[in-house]
Amino acid sequence: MKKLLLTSALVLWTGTSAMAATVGEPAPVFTATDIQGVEHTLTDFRGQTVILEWNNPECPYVVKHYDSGNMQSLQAEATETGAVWISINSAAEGKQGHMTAEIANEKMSDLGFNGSAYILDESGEIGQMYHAKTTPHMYVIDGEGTLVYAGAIDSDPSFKQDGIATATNYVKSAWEAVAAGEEVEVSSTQPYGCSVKY
Amino acid sequence: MRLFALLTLICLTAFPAIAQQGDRNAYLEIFPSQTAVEPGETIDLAIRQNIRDGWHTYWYNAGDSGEPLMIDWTVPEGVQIGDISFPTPKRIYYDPLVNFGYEGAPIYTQSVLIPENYDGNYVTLEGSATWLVCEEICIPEGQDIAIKLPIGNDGVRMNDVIFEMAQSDMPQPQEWRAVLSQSDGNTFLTVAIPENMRQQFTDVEIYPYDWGIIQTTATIMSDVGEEAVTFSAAAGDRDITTVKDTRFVLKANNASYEVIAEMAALTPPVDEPPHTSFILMIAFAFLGGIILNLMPCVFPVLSMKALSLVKLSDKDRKHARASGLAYTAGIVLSFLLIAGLLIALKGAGETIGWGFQLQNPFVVTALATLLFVIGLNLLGVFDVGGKFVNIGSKLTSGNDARSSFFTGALATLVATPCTAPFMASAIGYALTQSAFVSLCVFGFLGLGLAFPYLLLSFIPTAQKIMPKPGAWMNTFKQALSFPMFASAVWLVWVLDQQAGNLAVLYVLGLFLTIGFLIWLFKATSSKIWRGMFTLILTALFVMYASVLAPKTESDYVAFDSQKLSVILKDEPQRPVFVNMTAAWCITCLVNERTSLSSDSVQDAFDAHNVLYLKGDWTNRDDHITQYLESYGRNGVPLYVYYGPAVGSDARPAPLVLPQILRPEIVLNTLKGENEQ
Repeated sequence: MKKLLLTSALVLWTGTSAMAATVGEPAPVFTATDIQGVEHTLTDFRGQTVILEWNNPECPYVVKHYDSGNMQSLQAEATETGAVWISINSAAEGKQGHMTAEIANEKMSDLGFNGSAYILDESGEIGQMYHAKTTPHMYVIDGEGTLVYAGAIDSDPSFKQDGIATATNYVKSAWEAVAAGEEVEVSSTQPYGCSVKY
Repeated sequence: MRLFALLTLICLTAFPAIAQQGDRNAYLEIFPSQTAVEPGETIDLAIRQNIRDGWHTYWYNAGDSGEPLMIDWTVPEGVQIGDISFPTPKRIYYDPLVNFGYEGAPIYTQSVLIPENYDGNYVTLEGSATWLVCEEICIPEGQDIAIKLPIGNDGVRMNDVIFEMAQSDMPQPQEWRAVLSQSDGNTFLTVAIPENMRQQFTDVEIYPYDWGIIQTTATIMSDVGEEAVTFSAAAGDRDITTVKDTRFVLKANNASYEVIAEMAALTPPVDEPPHTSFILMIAFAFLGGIILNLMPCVFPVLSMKALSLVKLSDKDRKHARASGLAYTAGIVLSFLLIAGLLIALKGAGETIGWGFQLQNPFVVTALATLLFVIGLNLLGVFDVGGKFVNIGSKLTSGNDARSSFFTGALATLVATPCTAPFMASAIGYALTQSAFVSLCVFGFLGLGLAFPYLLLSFIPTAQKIMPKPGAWMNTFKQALSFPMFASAVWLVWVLDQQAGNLAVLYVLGLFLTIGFLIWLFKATSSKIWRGMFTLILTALFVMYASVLAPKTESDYVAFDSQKLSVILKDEPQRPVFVNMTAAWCITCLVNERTSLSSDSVQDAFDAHNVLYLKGDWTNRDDHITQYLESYGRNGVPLYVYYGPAVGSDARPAPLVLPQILRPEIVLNTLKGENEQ
């Protein structure tokens, strides 16, 4: 009975996946295979901070953070502290930024990608689950699976690189707060960037 | 960067600063409103953004994605430039996202104040403009713009057509009072639109200047009221308490308006609960108590108590009153006891509410059993003379007051499962009050429960309306057993949720044994038989206790034949234990409880890094069936152990364990000592 209730709850939940991921609530759980062929389930990372980055390598705002090396160094910094960095590309087939796993591997290694995994979500399922709107759109999930931050990568909503150095990086602040066992001060901001190419 | 290199066309002229399109998707033209400007005067600039067909740019709040036009001006000292005014946007759908922006040639305006002490023949304004322009893909573009205005008092208006166009596309600022609030996931914007205009706002588009106020995709509902129009839409991602005053553009009937909304007071003013509300609360509690008498688990108790009055003769009146008082005391004291316990536990920091007793499976079991036994008693299966469990005990018996007191306590006890679902919230409220108020509420609840019987025992006329005694009473009493059984059935279901299906099995076994014992006591007076079966019943209770003891949830992975083959191949060093089970397989459950879920086995699993796969065959599952067949079985349980490979050798052949497990069997198998 319990199991049945649970299953129907799960079914219901998947049915309403259009609902946005809400800060302070459990982050929607997804299972996906990355471009290296490794399967990941969000719950595999309980006990670790998980950072989700919505990526589209052809979006100027994403280019801003990769050309400047900002994203790669954030990825390195996060994973060194034991966090998991998952980049997700929800571009649909035929849309800008859509790639095969092979091309994505090539592209991300050219860029010096330092994250833990890169997932192609061409069905847009994970993107819609999280209501990902822009590239980049960032999410930070704590070790208990609670979404603690959703929004922009930093406080400079522009495609120009000059602002990066002086901007407040909300993602970094969030994972540092989680590591220190503190509450994330700025937990929700307006994401900026190109629209996700669903 | 490549783009910026393209964008270096500068026009130093007082007349339209026209950049050429080149391979850009949008470009700006600037128009001043006058031919010359006087110091101390303000001049307006119209900035037209010419967008390539099929492309769009963004409003102040871009919606789900995008970035609006931004101009970084460099001006002589003292010159002040106002914010960019954005024309009314439109929705640009990009399923499932919605952006707010422009197609065609939106005209922005910006005002420039020349200081009084400005010295010079010209004022030169230079700006670096950036915007995002998108079709499906987005391209950031920029343009360096500049305008040189003559200083003088001979300026005349110019570019009227452009400014008229700009004006007609700008939202008209309005002084209408607007209030923003949020509740239940919706955002409400109430705007005091003048009465004669209200009807235009039944179909409206709303553009909030701030992000996250409403969902961009939300449908806007309009409610035209007596004083104002209230618009509602699904709330956005933001906590709106972080917003102070916020602007909105309302677009209706081809016109658009701008309002500034203030936040509704965060908490509506709450009056201190006046004294009367306490009395009201007490009254409700009393009423609630009376209603409790009609609940399926209480009604039979009251009925039997009431029926006993029917048989009273005049000389028993005094007894009746004593009995009524004792019954009331039993109920009220029991209620106060539970309330006191509740208050004490809450004081100790426990987060519990009324009905907390039911969170304990032992209590639920006891209540279910009690209700079952009372049901049997009412049905006439057995009769226990003089004991308080005998609801129908004669009032005339010697220890009548004590019996009535305990009947009251019993009524309270059996009432709990019924009250919990119905009265939880009301009582929860009472518990937020002071201890005194809480106790009063509970006391009156008990008084209400006791009231009907108290009334009957004290007012002779009330007794007169009771039907004449007769054979019907026995039938009625028997009928009353069924609400009792129904309550027991419900509690068994509750138990299933709490302690699992095994607990249900045991509690039903308990019922069976009780039924059997009652029959046995009636059928035989042999002390040996009675003693033996009482012993069996006790044993059953003890076993039951072990079932309800908190389960250590074993760490297993759901069986998946693919996963199994992958692990067997890719991780030859890792032992795998497969357990095929089903909820209806008693042997399986017993094996799990005694062996597989035992601490020693679970620890050994951990120590050997065993992958514990559990297949649930409760429902049809073809993969499990196939697996069972591969071991020549057509049923569960089946336990298979895949030992680790030693060195570079292949894994040893899988080991099938016996169908009845003991912890040692599993432990020896893990150690490689089971040579079966």
